[in-house]
Amino acid sequence: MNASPNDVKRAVENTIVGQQAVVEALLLALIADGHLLLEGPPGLAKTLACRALAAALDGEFKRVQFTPDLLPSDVVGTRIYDQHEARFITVLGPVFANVVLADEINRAPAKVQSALLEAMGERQVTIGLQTHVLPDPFLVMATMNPLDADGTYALPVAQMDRFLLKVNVGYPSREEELAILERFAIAQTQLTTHAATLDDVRAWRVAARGVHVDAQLKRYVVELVAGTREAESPYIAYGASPRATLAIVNLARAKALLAGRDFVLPDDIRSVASGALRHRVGFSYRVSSEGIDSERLLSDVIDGVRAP
Amino acid sequence: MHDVSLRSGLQTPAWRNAVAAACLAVAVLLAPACVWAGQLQPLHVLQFTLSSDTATPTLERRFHLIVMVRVTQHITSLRNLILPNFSGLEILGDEQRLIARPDGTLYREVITVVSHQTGSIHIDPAYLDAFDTQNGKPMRFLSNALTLQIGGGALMPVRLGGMARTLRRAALLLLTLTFWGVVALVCIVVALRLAVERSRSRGNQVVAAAPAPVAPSPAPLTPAQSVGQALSILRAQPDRLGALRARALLWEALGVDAGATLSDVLRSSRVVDSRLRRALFSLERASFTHDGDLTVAVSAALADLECAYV
Repeated sequence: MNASPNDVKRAVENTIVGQQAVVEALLLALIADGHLLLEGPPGLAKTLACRALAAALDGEFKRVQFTPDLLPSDVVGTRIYDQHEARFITVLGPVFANVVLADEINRAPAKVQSALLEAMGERQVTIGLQTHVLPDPFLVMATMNPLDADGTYALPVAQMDRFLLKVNVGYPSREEELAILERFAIAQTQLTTHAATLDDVRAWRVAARGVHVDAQLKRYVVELVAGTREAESPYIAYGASPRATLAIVNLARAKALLAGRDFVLPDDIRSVASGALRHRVGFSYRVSSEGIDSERLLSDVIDGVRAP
Repeated sequence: MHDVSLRSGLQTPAWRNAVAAACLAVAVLLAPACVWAGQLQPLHVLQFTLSSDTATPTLERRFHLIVMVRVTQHITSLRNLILPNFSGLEILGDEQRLIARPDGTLYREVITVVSHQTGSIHIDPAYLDAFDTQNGKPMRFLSNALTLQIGGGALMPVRLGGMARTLRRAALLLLTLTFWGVVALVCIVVALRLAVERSRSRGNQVVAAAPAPVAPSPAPLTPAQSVGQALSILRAQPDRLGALRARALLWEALGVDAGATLSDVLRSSRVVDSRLRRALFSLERASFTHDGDLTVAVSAALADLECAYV
């Protein structure tokens, strides 16, 4: 079976009403072999989107609700003593799945966040003396709730940098909410399965790595990221790291593949830039104290760099 | 017994009159507040700042204080905005603008001021009374406060006295007269020299060459003409560079900034023809595709441009 990423997109859209930005971000992260950070209020079908993606790929889905009393072993796994066998056995944690939803990641202490983020980076987990390789493909979608900030542990900058892109999710439109009522008030949620296989995903990743990026476009990406560091704005405390440069190029390649092209266009880069930079640019305290929209600041920086 | 006397006391006409008067007084006091709440604009305030256009204001040199209010509503006026007292500054002008934006309205008030004394000046926050659509309550929004450090140079006195001011004016007058005197002298010398040269050239009977005719500035290209020119460029240079040049020419003719992307171009109201849209995408492909696809991409761009030109 040679399914295309758009088959998976359609399968997820059969389940989710609206939230096109989330669905596209999930696919981009999947193709670009990265992880996704989502910020938005609860009740916006984030779990359903992840479950729908895993079902469409015939992959395994696990969800971890991050709480202040969570331990690293609750995420990655642990060794327990089996009385019948009279020996220690390894119980693998929920991180061993193809699609993992880390719900409200900022509610758990730093050591738990660190355990998950290390697994995301290394693609393997060491429990006791044994190292276990995580499944491939492996996609983590972490969520953060902006409404209840009390008792949360903000993700450090270095940890945020590990996410390929960040999406801010908003409420659906009135029409979309009406469609949600129509779809979910009567029947149970139906997930579309067998839209693609895990082998297809691996093939897309290989294809995405071969998507051509012209030298002018590489220069454009570098200028975009440098623009965040050199912006003479009192509202920007620090710019994005070189990891952002790689992230933009990988996401633009995935975007081109999703559009059925084997070459990247300037539009691909500009459309993914804010997602890759949003969580990597540090805004000063003045942004919140003066009520300034950080998204507008970021888009000003992006628009300030001339596309080739 | 005590209770009975108290109850009877409350029922006396004098006590009832006193209670009625108190109620009336409370009602009179509350009425303006209710009217005030009713007159407030329903607003969702996103930004409310007070700033200066210069970080280092100078004595006797005008500068601007800027009040910015950004709201999500589309409004034609902003009511109940109260500016602070600009004590220590002389107000020279005040310009107010409401700018409609897709995401709401931006109110920008620029106050031109000048300071006559050096030192620190503190400006209290401006405030805006509005009905906050976020929580459904009347609110008072405050901007930030501003502290300015007026610099004036060590030689400048804080206030010139009467004598010093007269001396300063006299010095300025002297300088102005000297300047204009020098200018007049230079003009006379130049005019004399020109007159001498002209008389010499007349004596030599040399006919000066007529100035070369200035070429009229080219008229802006129509979309059809620009497609034709782009086609010529790509025919003459059927490679990536040619595609980039043709693309740049076409975008300029369509009135799109050179730093824009294809989606900006396609959003333009001048690009409605589907053949032109296809040609634009083909040129984009030829400009950025890989070398293996370049020949095919350039051929496709030529074909689409021809189609759009016809």
